[in-house]
Amino acid sequence: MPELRLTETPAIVRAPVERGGTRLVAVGESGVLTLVLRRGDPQRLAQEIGAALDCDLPAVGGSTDATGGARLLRPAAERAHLVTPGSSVPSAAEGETFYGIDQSDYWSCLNLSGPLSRACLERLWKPDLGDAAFPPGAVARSALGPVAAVLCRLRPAAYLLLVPRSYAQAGFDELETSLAWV
Amino acid sequence: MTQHHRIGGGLVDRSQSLSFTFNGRTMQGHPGDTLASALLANGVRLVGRSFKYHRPRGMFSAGPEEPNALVTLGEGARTEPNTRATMAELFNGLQAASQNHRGPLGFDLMAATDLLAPFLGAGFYYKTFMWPRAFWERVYEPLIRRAAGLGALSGQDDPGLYDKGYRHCDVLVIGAGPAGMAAALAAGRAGARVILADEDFRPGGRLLAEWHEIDGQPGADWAAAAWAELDGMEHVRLMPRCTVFGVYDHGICGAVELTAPDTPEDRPRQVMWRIYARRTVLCAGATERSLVFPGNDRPGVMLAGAVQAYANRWAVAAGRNIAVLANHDGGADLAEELRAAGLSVAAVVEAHNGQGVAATRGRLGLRGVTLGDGRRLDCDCLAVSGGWSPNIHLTCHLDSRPVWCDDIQAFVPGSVLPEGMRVAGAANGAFSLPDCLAEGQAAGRAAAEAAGHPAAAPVHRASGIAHAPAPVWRTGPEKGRAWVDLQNDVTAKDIALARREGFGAVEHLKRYTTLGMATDQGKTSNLPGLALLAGATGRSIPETGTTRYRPPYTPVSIGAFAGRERGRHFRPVRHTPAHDWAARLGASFTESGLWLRAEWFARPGETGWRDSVDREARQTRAAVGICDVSTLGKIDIRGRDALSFVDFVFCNGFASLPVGKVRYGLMLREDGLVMDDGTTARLGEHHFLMTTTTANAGPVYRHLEFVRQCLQPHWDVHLVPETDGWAQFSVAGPKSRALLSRLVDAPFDISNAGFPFMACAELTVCGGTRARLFRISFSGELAYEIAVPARYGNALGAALMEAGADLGVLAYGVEALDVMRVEKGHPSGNELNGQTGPVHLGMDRMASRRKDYVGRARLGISHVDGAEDVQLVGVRPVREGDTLWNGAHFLEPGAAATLEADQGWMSSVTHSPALGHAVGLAFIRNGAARIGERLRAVDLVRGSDVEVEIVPPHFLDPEGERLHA
Repeated sequence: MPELRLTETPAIVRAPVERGGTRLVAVGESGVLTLVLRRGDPQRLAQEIGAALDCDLPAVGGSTDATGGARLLRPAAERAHLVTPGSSVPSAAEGETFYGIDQSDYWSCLNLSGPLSRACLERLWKPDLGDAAFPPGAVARSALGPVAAVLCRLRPAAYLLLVPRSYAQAGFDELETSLAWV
Repeated sequence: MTQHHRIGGGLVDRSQSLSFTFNGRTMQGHPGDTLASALLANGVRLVGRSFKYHRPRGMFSAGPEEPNALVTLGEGARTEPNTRATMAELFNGLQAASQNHRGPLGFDLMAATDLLAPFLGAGFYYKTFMWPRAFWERVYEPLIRRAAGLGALSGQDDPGLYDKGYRHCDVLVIGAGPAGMAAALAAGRAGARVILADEDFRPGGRLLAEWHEIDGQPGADWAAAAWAELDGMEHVRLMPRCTVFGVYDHGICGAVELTAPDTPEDRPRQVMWRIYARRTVLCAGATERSLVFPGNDRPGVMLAGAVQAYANRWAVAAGRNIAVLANHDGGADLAEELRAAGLSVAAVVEAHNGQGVAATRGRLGLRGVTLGDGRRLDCDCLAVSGGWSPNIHLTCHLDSRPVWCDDIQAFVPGSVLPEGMRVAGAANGAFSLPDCLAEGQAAGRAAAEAAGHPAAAPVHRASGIAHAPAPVWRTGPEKGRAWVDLQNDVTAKDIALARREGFGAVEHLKRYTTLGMATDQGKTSNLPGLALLAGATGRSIPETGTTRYRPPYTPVSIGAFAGRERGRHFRPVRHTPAHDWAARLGASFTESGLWLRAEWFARPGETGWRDSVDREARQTRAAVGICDVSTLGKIDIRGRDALSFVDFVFCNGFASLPVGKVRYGLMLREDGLVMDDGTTARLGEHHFLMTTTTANAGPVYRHLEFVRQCLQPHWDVHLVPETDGWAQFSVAGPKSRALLSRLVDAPFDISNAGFPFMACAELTVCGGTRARLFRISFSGELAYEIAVPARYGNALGAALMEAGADLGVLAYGVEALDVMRVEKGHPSGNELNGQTGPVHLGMDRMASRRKDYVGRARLGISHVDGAEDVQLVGVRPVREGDTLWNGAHFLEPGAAATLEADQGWMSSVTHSPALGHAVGLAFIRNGAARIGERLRAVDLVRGSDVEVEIVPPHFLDPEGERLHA
């Protein structure tokens, strides 16, 4: 019996789409470590996160840079996602106040950037995308049309979206259509 | 035709010509024209036929209130009926056609209906079409359907694209007339996030139609400059061609934006917006009313404000010799403007001074009028004004009521308005230009300040007065037909008739006469109708009241409501991590919720799905089969109180579940009926993995979060959904262990002793890929489920097939999965349908009586009426060749098929390849005590009546020997 090895299939294989200087990209490889944050001592939580991941714990609805080009998103009080370039995530991510689950296979990442990016999102995203309510660095959890998603505004005209793997194609389709129609 | 009725001035772009057709004849217009203004410019006055009497009709207004000029635009699949010509922006190539006539527009054969007018009064259909009864469906209904309606749909799929979106702002200003502009300027200059929406393609409102100066400039110029200033503000969004059609809770408004006529066909033509506004300023203006007099429906009888707008905005003479009828002094002002435009004014008839119009003449177009004093005048246009009604509709969408204002003889907004809304300008009953500007500016400033942006208080300089109308609603004799609702052909006599027949309440009047029920929603007719009713009943207008205002303010296409949600956008498709593998293997896919799941894998030579499914079930039971079960819900549960949590959400006990074991769990709702079932594995001291059925992955997760956050908030337990993160295969059959032993990495012990029934473990497979293994069985065979991270799903399927080739491995789909579970007697969705509890499923002993859990309080109490005592059993046909049908009901031999005799129903049926005949699961009254009894399985829809025997539900291996092999 020859040795069997399992190869990977990416969640989504779609070429980038561009229009009007705006680009939609399905990120091929990225790691997502989901952090469950326990209620209790917020200071101790921040300390433990800092020690484990070498980054600040953002406020709810915010995000911070982490080492190695990663970004820590905090869409809810009890939830954060460390998004890393490349598919590996820190393994020793656990403390008294939090624990981590490697969800690199659960989430797919989409990048949307350019002058039409907000107009694209407006066609699908119910919460306020305005500068005051959703400034660069902000994170929110809602739905992209029919697709549940986590949205992070990386820069004024650049966004990162996390969508569940089985919805990745649908999420890309919706954004692609919006980009063609705005 | 050339534009004989085009006059000087106006705001159209004469440097360009636009070519369009109406009823096949080519005409010219200019950018800035509407279809209505362009038709009038070309001398076209007759544009349609009325709904009931097929009377000739022409343009009546210049705006959204138009009741007559409904045309069909486009052709073929892009046909758009019932379009108001007054709102259709002219573009090159526009094709329009008139509606509601048989034969040419000028010679409508259906006009003979007008001769039957005495018999077709209000509510005539309640008194006719009674006899003979046989004619109802065969004669009357087809006739009425053919006669009803105005325009006609193409019957083809609409190729137009539609979309939706969401916008947020501090201040939503509705209407870009003088009040709206002032409000938007005040709020925008204060730095508030403003959305300014107007239904017109050019901002300015009545400033475009009337001669005014603001801040030293002509009104139209001031509006253009204000628009440009707003356009330059980053925080202001301008939305022309955008009608705010409804106001909803929490400051949310619905709006439909039409894209410009030259938008390419691969872009949406309409976008429906949900606008979330912290504050709303309604500056929707006012709509002019007509007066009621005999013959007031001829082409050429128009609202005075419309005549003014056609002259001033579109440089079109609505007539060459115009008479003016008004119940206020504004008629004289209009006459002066028309003369200044080079038009002849035949007369100014002052209804507020006792004058009036008694009759009109000119069938296909007005040729003259007879005044109240008997004088006959020649004229080709009669400009009528009965005053103005503030457009208060949006203030009433959340059930507030308007109040009557005697000063302007109109309803104005009541004191209770939708949350965050202010009203300004004509919509608030302020009809003079200075008042409009002042109110708009104040409202915009107040809205901005309420949103945290202090505003300055600039003053706009303007002059102007408003003319208060007299309470005159009707002129001329009672004799002669006088129209109130032009679109639905409702006359003053209809209102009198309704009153005589007892329909004196305004809501009854509306429905009995259909006053205000056409597409114009009675914008020009409601108030005159109320006034007539008030007069007939001896009440005042405020005592009579208004009907209820509801969204939408103007008609909204179904396409806009649907948005992009059609075709591939109707709903997302979810692929499992092993989808590509299954497709390569030739799977036939079926929809399971949003998922695509392989239902079977046909092989060459198989003639139908039964061949494939029976083979898959047989071979799985004989050797080994693999099935993609990735769609089952997976919820990761951790925390110091995770065990207590799991024990609390299931009715059976979990407190004793050791690490490394799996247990079947039955989850109840709070009413004690079953919500879902599945297995939960204890992967660690404080770590569980719960599976749910595919359909309930979302609902169970929501339920668990409710339990966690609301019922047990003090527990340390956390949930993370994992459904999408893992690819999972069922590996079933006597050779399943042999197959898996070739994948699991040493030193994992997969023997029966090392990994017994209901064990679970985290391990690696295929040289280091992390995995989870569960020894559970849905098929009744020796079976496992193996899970790997989703990225390896396709590869795992391929590896299992390769590794098991010599073992006779095959892939099986959900149909074979279902066959095997029915053979084994496992309940599934058909049985766990939200109407059954543990006692009905034969699982009563599973439900603990010792611990507390969700559903405990109602355990055994809740049931579906008429199904209190049903119990899940198996059935088999007495004659083995008989077919069983799902949904069949059971009767005792000789019993009639009545509800009272009903003994239960069939919930699941399959042909059993293992047994060679059909088997079923059924809910039968006291079923457990009736094993061996014979009943009839009756399906009246399919005409089946089969004798069956009640048997235990486990058709194969009832002792479970194969499971524990």
